[in-house]
Amino acid sequence: MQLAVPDSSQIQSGASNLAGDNSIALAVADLRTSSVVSGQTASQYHAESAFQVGEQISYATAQRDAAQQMLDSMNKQRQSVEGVSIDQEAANLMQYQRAYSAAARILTAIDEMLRTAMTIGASTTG
Amino acid sequence: MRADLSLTSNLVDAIRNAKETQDEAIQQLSSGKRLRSISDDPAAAAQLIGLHSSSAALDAYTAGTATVRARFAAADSALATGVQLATRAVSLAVSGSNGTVSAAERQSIASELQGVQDQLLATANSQFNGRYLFSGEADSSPAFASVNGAVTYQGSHPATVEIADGVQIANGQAGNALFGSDGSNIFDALSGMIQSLSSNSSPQNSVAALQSSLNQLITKRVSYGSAMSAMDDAVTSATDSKQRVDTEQNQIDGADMTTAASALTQAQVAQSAASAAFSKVASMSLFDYLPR
Repeated sequence: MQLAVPDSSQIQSGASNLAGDNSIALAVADLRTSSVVSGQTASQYHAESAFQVGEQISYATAQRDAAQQMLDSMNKQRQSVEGVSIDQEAANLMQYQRAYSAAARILTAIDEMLRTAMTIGASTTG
Repeated sequence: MRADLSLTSNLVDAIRNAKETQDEAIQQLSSGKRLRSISDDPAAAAQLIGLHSSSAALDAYTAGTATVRARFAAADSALATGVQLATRAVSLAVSGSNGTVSAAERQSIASELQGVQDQLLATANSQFNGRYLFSGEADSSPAFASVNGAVTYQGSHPATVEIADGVQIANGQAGNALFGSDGSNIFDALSGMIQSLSSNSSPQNSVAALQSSLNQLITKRVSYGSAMSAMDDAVTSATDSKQRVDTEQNQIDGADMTTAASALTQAQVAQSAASAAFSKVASMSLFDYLPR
């Protein structure tokens, strides 16, 4: 950082040209306790603005959190409807596999029966 | 049950919450401050801004008053020398007024008085940090100048300094209030006396003038002592106020270290529990039990 006025003696501290005149510096110092914005001191105004902005942020954050919670709960509801249960599907799969095996067994049985039936004629005529 | 996905998302939430709590606790422990943003507690933030402003003003008053006080101490010690010189001058004048004193003795008293006058002028033009102590606001030039034997005041009235809220004091005394106005100052009294003695006459009239100049110097010097004790009081009171402001700031913004530390531990436990549960749940499914 570079100072615009490197030497304090270059600051005009008083209304006159006398070196020890500090009337301007005193007036500047007075600003701290003077009503400069909306009937308030700069510090009061700063504090009030910070309070208002802080309240707004806090309100907006609470609203965002509420909306987020709503969204989360909706998502969960949706998932409970559209989502698949891996365990349920695995159980189903097992069931279908068993059904398939059973059906395949029946087919095998029919096939064996037909095969046996067809050999009946062959042995008597042969 | 179809809540597989929401179960994992619940665990992710739990882990995220635990991390947030940890971050907050670590922030509080490392900074010692409770508030991270003005939205954490807007009313407290507003109070802190006011307190910060008071605190800065108190620091400025303390530092500024120390500078002024150093200047007053230098001035007071210069005035102590001035009072000594003036007292010496009065006693010389009294012995010079004695009827039995010879012309030669008067001559030697006159030359000694000349020396006293020179020293007194140098004292009245004392400097501190390159500024003349008794020139009022015009402190870049000497308070008194001797032109053709007449010593006149070159300065102005003293500036005002603020040592506490609404407490303003004069930045010392003007040289002409201490050493007398032009035409009737202590230097004129000394010159008159030196003239009388040199012409071998009794400096009777000048003795009274010198005595009253000395009294004026003594009286006015007292103001430096009382101003310095006022400054000491102001600094003491500023230090007390600063302490109160610091305490109040700490009450508003100071983190409760014990609470923060235990919150951190709890959050760490919660995070590792949720992470462990996550790894279990994520790896667990009926498929693991199906023959491949």
